[in-house]
Amino acid sequence: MIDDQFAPLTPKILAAIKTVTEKPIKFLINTHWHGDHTGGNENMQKEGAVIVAHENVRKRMSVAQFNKERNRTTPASPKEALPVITFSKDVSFHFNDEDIFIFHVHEAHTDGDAMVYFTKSNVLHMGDTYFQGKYPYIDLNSGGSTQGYIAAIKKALLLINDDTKIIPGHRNVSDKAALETYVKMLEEIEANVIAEINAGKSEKEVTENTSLTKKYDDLNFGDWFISGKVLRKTFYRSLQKGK
Amino acid sequence: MKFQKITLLIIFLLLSFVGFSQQKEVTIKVNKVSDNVYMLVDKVEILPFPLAKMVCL
Repeated sequence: MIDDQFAPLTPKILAAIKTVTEKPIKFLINTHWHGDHTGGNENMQKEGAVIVAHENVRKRMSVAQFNKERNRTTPASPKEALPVITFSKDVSFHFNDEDIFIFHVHEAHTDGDAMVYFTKSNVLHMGDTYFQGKYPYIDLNSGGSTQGYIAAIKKALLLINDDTKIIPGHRNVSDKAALETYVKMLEEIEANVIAEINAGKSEKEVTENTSLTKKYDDLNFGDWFISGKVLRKTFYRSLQKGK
Repeated sequence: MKFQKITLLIIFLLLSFVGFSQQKEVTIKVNKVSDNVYMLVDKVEILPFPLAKMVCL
């Protein structure tokens, strides 16, 4: 199983799983530490699942996390919710006639992201390193970066082919062509913001400059909690941090 | 056995960052992505106030 949503949903998740198999969940993989991907960990561990994640997921879940931009503190998770197997680069599972390759991408959505590739099924789960059809949430407070986010998508593109089914952390199943368009969009916006920074523009000026994302704002990429304005600010801060 | 071949893959739509309140009812649907991979999709329904109930079971 990959990711487990918020804790209150566990009974419904287990009921849904029972419609396809009576077997217990053996392994649970967390694609990153955020609560909408790890909130059910404690419940799943009690159900017998072994939780696997990148080492930074365990580190971040072990202590309280403060999000400066949202002014919100997430308390440390109970011991029972922490991943018990961690990896630094990658790990593979071999069962059900399937080789499942789990690999870390550096400083992307967070600093603990993992993608999961089902090699035989040719299905790639990208966690939150891909928000299909919408601007990405890049958590700079958790070690994410715009540069790493783009690099992560490029790494995924090296692995997949035209037939690969891509499962994003949120929204609809996608494919290679759509992912290529998505990374092109991010690179265009990045180039726009870099040009502004090089011209000496301030964070406020970049954040307020709607022309930098207009092309994609008009395609409704910003019609959710990551608006064009939020994305411009994220790019500015991330690029300044990386200087 | 057919089910021995199943690998379950869980992702959730719509709910991210929304959180929960007493006004929301969540249903979960199973979508098949490939022979071995399934996806759980959540759907949030906003209930009228007098009928609101807890999501937590």
